[in-house]
Order: sequence, then structure tokens, then C-alpha cells
Amino acid sequence: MTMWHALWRLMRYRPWLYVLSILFWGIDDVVPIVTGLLGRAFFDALTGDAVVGWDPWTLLALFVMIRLANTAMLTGGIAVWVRCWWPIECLLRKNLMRAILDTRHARHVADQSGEITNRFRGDVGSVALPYENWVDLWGNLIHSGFALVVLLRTDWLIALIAVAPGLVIVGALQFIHPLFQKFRALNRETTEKATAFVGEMFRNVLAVKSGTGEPRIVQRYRALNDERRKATLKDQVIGSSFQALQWNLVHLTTGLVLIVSATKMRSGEFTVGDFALFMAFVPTVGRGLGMIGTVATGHIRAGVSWKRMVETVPDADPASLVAHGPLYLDGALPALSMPPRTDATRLDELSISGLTYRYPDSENGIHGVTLRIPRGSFTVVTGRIGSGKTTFVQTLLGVLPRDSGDVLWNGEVIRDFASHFVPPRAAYTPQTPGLFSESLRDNILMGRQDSVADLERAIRLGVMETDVEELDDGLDTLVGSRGVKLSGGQVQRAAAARMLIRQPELLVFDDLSSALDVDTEQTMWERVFESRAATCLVISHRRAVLRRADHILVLKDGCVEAEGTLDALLESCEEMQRLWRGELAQADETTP
Amino acid sequence: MHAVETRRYRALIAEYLIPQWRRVALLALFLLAGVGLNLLHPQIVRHFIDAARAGAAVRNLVIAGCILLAAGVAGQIVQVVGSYLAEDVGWVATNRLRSDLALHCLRLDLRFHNDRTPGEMIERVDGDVTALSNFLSQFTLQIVGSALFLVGALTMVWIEDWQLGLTLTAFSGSAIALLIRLRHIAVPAFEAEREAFAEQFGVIEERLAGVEDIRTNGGDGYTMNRLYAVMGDAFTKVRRSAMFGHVLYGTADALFALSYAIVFGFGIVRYREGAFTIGAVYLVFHYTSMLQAPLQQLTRQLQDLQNATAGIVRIDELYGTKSALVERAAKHIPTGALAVEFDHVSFRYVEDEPVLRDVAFRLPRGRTLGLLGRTGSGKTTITRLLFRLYDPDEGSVLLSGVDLRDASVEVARHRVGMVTQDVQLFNGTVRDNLTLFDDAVPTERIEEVLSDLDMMDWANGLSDGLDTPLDATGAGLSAGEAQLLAFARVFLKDPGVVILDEPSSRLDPATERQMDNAVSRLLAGRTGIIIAHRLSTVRRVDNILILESGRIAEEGERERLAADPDSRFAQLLRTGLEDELA
Repeated sequence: MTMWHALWRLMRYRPWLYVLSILFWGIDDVVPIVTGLLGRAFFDALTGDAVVGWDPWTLLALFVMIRLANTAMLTGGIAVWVRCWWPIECLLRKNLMRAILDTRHARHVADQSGEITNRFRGDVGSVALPYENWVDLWGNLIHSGFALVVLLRTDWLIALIAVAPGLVIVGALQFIHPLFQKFRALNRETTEKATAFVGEMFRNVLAVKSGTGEPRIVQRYRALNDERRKATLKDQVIGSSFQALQWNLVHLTTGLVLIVSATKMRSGEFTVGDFALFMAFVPTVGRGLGMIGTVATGHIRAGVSWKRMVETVPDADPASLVAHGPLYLDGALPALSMPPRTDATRLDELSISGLTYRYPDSENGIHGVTLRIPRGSFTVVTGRIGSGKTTFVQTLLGVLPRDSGDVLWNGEVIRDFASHFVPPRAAYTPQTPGLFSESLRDNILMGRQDSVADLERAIRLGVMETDVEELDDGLDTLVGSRGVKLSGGQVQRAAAARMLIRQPELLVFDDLSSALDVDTEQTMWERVFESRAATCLVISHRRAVLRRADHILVLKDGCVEAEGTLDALLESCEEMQRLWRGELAQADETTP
Repeated sequence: MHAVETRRYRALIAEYLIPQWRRVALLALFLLAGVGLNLLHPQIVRHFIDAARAGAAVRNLVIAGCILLAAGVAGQIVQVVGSYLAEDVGWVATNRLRSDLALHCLRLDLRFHNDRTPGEMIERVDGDVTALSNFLSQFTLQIVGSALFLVGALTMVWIEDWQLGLTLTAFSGSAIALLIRLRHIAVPAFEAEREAFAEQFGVIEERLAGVEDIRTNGGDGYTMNRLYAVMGDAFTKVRRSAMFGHVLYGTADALFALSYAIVFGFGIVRYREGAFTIGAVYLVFHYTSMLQAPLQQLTRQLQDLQNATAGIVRIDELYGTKSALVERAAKHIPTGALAVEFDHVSFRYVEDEPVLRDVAFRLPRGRTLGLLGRTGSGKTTITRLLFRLYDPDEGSVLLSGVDLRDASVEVARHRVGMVTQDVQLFNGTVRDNLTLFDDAVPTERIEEVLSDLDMMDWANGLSDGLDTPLDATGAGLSAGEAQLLAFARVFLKDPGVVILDEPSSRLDPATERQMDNAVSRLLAGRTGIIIAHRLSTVRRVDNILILESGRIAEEGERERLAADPDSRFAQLLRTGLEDELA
């Protein structure tokens, strides 16, 4: 889908408001035709060259009344336009967010959150700009078209000469397109870098403070801003040159008209009224042409931004970014339904074969991981740091896009991991969970309407009951940006509760050792299993967890090094022995 | 204009424009040239009309046309150069303002940062300043330019007819007064709009960062609803601000209509009296139509000023937020290992919710303290007080006898090194991440530290050595390597006290052993405070301090406590540390 198609879809989102806007602003643009003609009539009435025998005072009264009426009408124009344009930006934001929530590149989005936020801001604005330009364009084109006809009928030769410079400019613009595009992209790129750095420096404020690096961090920010300034200047100079050209066109054409009309004016063939009309209308024709230029540059900028939006979600259909749908701007939000639990969502057996994912431009990743997870089993994935444990579960869950491999759910091939591995089929607690700046309750529920009893049960399962008691406002405690007001352990327990309240068939844990001590973790497993038959996929190197495992998968350098029961692995697998010994060595030191 | 605001604008101009006065002067010159060219224009046209109707030679008429053409070309050049200069001046000024604001905010204490999302900070440090950009670059000059043009055009009309001149002057004066009066009406609406934008992008940024959590736990519907809610809120604000903006614009527009009525009315009377030629009627009409531009410019600048005022209000709000850390004196903190003392310290983040209660202990220089306790017992708070991220509510924290409040924040933090559990990285090279963008640190020093930590092999293995770019997310870096980088940062600083929030809980045993070496070297010759999670770490400390709900439950030498079977520490050792120290 090209940007043009996208724009066309946007225009049809609120068609009546859009048409009404065009009408309002069209009238605003056409009014100067009437006032221009009145101006000519006025001068001609005064000098006695008039064709229509109206009194100058009448013309004056008409002139003022029309202007005032137009201003009053624009109040309606503004009201309609805001209701038309703002929802367009919202629609783009909504669709981009929707696509991001569905993309297979979720990890990438999370890693680049600062830069991608900028796409929600700057790029959405740029894509919506032509939508606005087209509203202005129609009125301008009618206006300048009409003005051109009037001028041609007044004196076709003078009219042609007066209009010529405008045509030249529109032509020249085509020539400069690529340069425009380049500078625009550079501008956006440097802006993105600088704004992303602001996000980084405040996210990493602790590191900045511990290095007493405030001045140097800011110096770095200054350098990024300076690059941005240079890029913006290039972009702006080209833009402003064209704009200046459009405005100075008036002076250029006035000069031309004077030169050409000298003889005719002298003979009285070309009246002062005609001259006033030319002065009023030639800029109009120029502006109409200039407007085409503005629309053209706006489209170039929109094209660059549209491309970036599409690239943010490479696996989404670009058409989905401009798909129509409700925005609920009146605050009446749609009710959230809890996903139904059916026979199809029940897990009997999950079998993974040859799952492969390689990080771009890197040797790291996982290669050909095969694993079978039967219902009610407790499978532990272990291995040293960098062996691919997290990559494996994230590829399985569709947070990273797999390169190859198949996954079968109860024997049926899953096509889209991302939409499949969600509650009630599966849920996940990442190693560093993300919480949001709202209440603890909202963070755990994340939109579910579970009963208080369900909530308490999940908190108990996540071993968070003491924390909730100790917190200021209990479940109503605002956790702050990314849960910063909670301790690291509390964040992870809250995330576990968030997963457990969903009662998924498959529970996926990425290393709970920093959140729960051994006993509590054991308690948690027992509680989970006593409530119902859950299937667990757990990343851990904790001995207690490994002991509990029905099946252990040992990863090394992204490949399966060995798998089996703990006893078998300790006998046969050197890597497992090493991992185990590491922890044994610690246990031996228990008596100092 | 409001008195306080005028002073604020002047201060901004003095601070950010005067340093670039040369370019500002050049910009003013170009603006003046533009004004002059514009004033010249109607005179040429009037001359032309009257000469043509009087039957002057065609050659003279053509010359008039040529002069106008030349003026057009000159105008083009003046405008392009002028806008380039204005843009540049504006960017240089706002970039400085951005940096100053960022520095101010970074220096605020953690209470400030805990309440704000990075997305919100992007909007406030970057977005709000952008709203000021036009004010700093063009506002004053445009106002001066417009005013000069206004005076010039009115003078020209006075020359033609003093009565019309007087009327138009009175009209312009009252128009400006009215527009300025309207100015303040819209500011709150603009401000509310910007705030809603900040909130909106804050929510978006946070959700993007947590997209894995949302996706894998089926929270997408909820996330969409949050987005709808913030967008809906912004919609209300946008509508209000657009309507207020229109009030300004509409008023100006109605005023222009009125000015035409005045001029045309005068024109009819004077022409019929024979006092004006038709050229003179055209001239005053032309000047009046040209008044529209400066008056509109004035209105637009005033609108921008409203945006800017909203921006200034929000920026000043940030500037008005003072760090709670007051510097009473600038005492020197001795070099080398430092003694640490907590003198009956109490602290709370919020009222009635004490996190530390009357904590008192002393750690002699060069010794290492193991800090034990459950989550929420106050361990992290102790380290944050020692690092002077907060000041205690009661009691004091002393480094070798110096109350931290009597030393500057910079000095205190410089003498204390801290390794947190999460390593925070920047988009930059390995070197940048180690030195936090301090280019003054010599390469030899970095290499020395890296080899101390057995990291030289790793560094040499990188494609560009120390200049290899790192991703802020730490992609391509193992958790162990990231931790060692954090250690290296502290080494480069060479502090007298080291705080270590032990990160090893997430590391595999093989990496853990590598880390043990690093910890040993870090503690050599320094005073250390370790929040320990593992026995191997506890084994190396000299003293033990066990916290419980913000109070000291037990404190003393490790060996003595371990030997006393009734001590909590001994009990901990028996039941196993892992169980208790989460």
C-alpha cells in the first residue's frame, strides 16, 4: 500500500466531517474572489470606469459585511475541523499500537521504545499533514482557477505573463524532490536520536548519578542536539526558500504586470480597478500553485514517515495502519471480554521441533531446539548465561520472530505463535517484567474483571500477600513508572501474580530466583499444582527447581546440549555437572 | 504584559540570545531590509498609476516595473537568509535551554524521577522547549520588524492625509491593545493541551517498553483502552485550545474588515473632494492592506507567545522543583578508604510510613559490611542514603566524620561507588559507557581497569575494541559482561566506599565465580557495603547487619555472630541463606 492509498483511506474515515471541512475552508478561500471583485468595482465606480452602476458606499458596505460573515462562519469551520483531524491522528496511533501488539518483533519494539514513541509523535503528524493540506488545496484551487479565468478575460496576455513565474516554481520543485527527501530523513533521524537519548538519560538516572556524570551526559545530549540542529537547518532552508519564493512571487508578478500593462493603462484600456483586481488575484493564482508545491513537499515528508511507520511493524499489512475503526474518544470505552476456555485451549501436549532464531547481524540465537512438553509436566530449561534460554522461550511465545521450526499444540501446527500463546493457553513472566504507572491492582488485572477472591488467590499464589499488606495503599498503591516504587522482587512477584490470575494452561517463568527464596518458590509451585493441573516451562539454575523437574533441557551456545531427568544428566552431561557443581561449591560453604 | 512574565521573557532573552548577539544583529539587519522593501512597494505602484493616467512616457513606466521586479528578487534573498539566521539562532538558543533543563532535572533527587516516565520527560525537556523555539528566535525581531513596518506605513498615510493617518493610528493602537488583552485567555487551554500530549506519549512509551508483558499475558485489549482514554482526554483539550485560538484569529480578522471600511470611506470622500488622486486612494488602500500583514504577524507571534508562555510555565515548573538535597557547606572528604557511620537515622518516603527507624551503626575504614534482610526491610534505602540520593529525616549519615549534608552532593557521590542490580547502559561506545562520556579518561587507565577485572580478552575481542558501539538495551552483551562493565565504572572512579547490591542472583554459577574475583578486587583497600544474596559473598565480609522492618535486628562481627548459636545470623546460616534473603 502506497502512501497515496493510505491517505485515501484516511480521507474516507470521517467523510462527512471531511467534506464539511473542505466546504468551510473552501468558502473561506473563495470569499477573497468576491471581495477582490468588489475592490475592482469600487475603484472603477470611483473613477467612473464602472460597468455596473453601483454606488461606492454600497460596495463598501457589502465588502465589510462579507468579511465579517466569513469570520463568523469560520468558528463552525474550526469546530468541524478539530473533530475531523484529531481523530485521524488518533486512528493512526491506535492502528500502529494495535499492529505493535500483534507483531512478531515485540522484543525489538520494547528495546527501541524511545525511538518508536517518536513514530507515534512526529511520523504520525507528518502522515496526517497531507490530510490537512488537501482541505486547503480544494478551496485554493477553485479560488485560483476562478481568479485565473477572471484575469484571462480581463486581459489574457497580461494574465499569462503574470502567472508564468508560479508555473516555473512548481516545475522546479519536481526537480528538487530527492534532495528534499534526503534532508527530511536526516532531520527525522537526528531528531529521533536526540529525543531517544532524553529517554535514556532519565531511565538511567541512577547510573548517571552513581557516575556523577550529569554534566557529561548533558554534554553528549548537547552534541546530539547540535547534529539535529544542522540537519534541521538544511531541511528548513530548502523549505523556506520555496515558501519565500511563493510570497515574493507577488512582487515579481506585480513588476511584470506593471511592465506589460504600461501602454494599456496609459490608454485607459486597463483601468485602475483592473490593476487592483490583478494585484488581488495574481498572488492568489500564485498561492494556488504554491499550495500544490506545499502539498507536494508535504507528501514527500509523509512518504518518508509512512515508510518508517510501516517498517516499525514489518510483518503487519500496511493497510491495517489506516484501517477504519472506533476510537472511543468520548470516553465510553469498549468492554473487555475474558478469553473463553474451550477444549481447543486445553493443553494435552506441546511439541517443539527444530526451533531456530538468530539475532540480526550476530551469531547469537538458538538453533534447532526440539522439546516435548506433556500436560501437567514441569520442564526446566537451564544453561549458562548467554546459552539462549530466554531466546528460546521468547521465540516460542512469538516475542521474537522464529526463522524456522514447528510447534504443535495437541498435534496441530501453530501458524502464529504470538496470537496462540496468550491466556488461557499460555502466559509469561519475563526476567525483568514491565509494570506500568498505575495501581498495583490494575497492573495485576490488566483489564480482567476477576472477583476480589480471584485476585486474592492470585496474590497468594504469587506469594505477594505480605507485600500487599505492607504497601501504603495495598492494592491501590501506585507503582510508579515501570514499577519503580516497588522493589525488584516485588515487581517480579507482581508479574507472577499477573500471570497466575489468568490461570493459563502453560505457565512460562523466566528465572524467579531474584524474586523468591527457595522455600517460597517451593511453596508457590505447590500452591500452583494443588489448585489444578498446570503445565510449567521454567528457566532456572536453582538446585531446588532442577530437583523438582520432570524433564530438564540443557542449552549451550543456542543448541540443545542434553536433555533428560536430573539424575541421568548429572551422570552423562558435563555441562550439567559443571552447572550443578557451581552451586554445590556454594552449598559446601554453608558452615563458615 | 504581566510584570513577572515580562521579566521572565527578558531573562530568557538575556540568557540565550545575547551570547549570539552578532548573528542576532545580522538577523535584525535583514529584517529591516525586508521592512524597507515592503514600504517602497506601494509608492512605486502609486507613482505608476498616476503617471500612467497622466499619460507619462512608456519608458518611465517600464522602469518603475523593473524597479519593482528588482525589489522582488532582493526580497527573496533577504527572506531566505533571514529565515536561515532566525532558525539557526533559535536552535542554538533552544539547544542550550534543553541542555540546561536536562542538567537541572538530572540533578533533582530520586523522588522527582520516581514519579515520572521517560516518555513524559522527553515531552517536557524536548517538546516544551520546542514550543519556545520560535519565541527565542523570531519573536522579538518579528515584533520589532512588524512595529517598524507599522510605524513606517502609518507615517506614509499621515503624509497623504493627517486625518486618515490619525484615524488609522488610533485604530491600530486599539487593535493591538485588544489583541494583547485577549492573549491570556488562551494560555490555560494551550497548557492543558500540552500536558495531555505529554501524558499521552508517556503512556505510549511505557506500553512499548512493556510490550512483551502485555502480549504474553493477553493485556492488549486493556492497553488499547488505556490509549483510547488518554487520546480521548487529549481530544477534549485540543478542542478547547483550538476554539480559544480562533477567538484571537477571528478578532484580528474582524478588525481588518473594519480598517478597510475606514480607508475606503475616507478614499470616497477625499477623491470626490479632489484632495486625493486615484493613485493616492490606491496607495492608502495598499498600505492598509499591508497593515494586515504586521498586525497578523503580531497576532501570530502573540499566539506563539501563548504557546511559549505555556511552555515557559511548564519549564519553570521544572526549574521550580528544587532538589530536596540542600548543601549546607562544602566540607572536604578525605581520600582513601572511609569510615561509614549512621547516627540514629530515620527515613520515610511518604508520611507515616517509616522505612528506616533509628538506625545506628559504625563501620571502620577498610572493613566490609554485609547487609542482610528481607525485601522491604530497608537495605536499599541504607545504600541510597549513603550515596546521598536522599537525606535522612532524622539523624545523619557520616563519611569519616563528615556529615554528608555538609559536603556537596558531587563530592559525596564521587567518594562513594555504587553497583546496582540492573546495569543501565547508553547508546554509545564501550568507552562512553565506562566513562559516562568522559573523554578525559586516558585509554591506558581504562585498559588498566579492564585487565584488573580480567576483561581485556573480552575488550580485544570486540570489533572496534573500546570504540565498539553498545546498544542501550545491552543487546550483544551477556548479563555477566554487563555487570563487569558496572564494576569497571566504579573502578574508574576509585571511590573510598563501595556499595554493592549483589547482582549475582541472576547469574549462572560459572559466571558467578568470575564475578567473585572482581568483587575481591573492588573491595581491596576500600570500605564496602554489600547487600548479599549468596553465602560465598557473606563469607568475605567482616561485619554483619541484619535489618527487619527498618530496624537493626542484629549487628556485629561476622565471626562472633557465627560462633554464637543463639544469634539470628547463626540461625540464618543453619536454615540456608537463600531462603531468607530474597
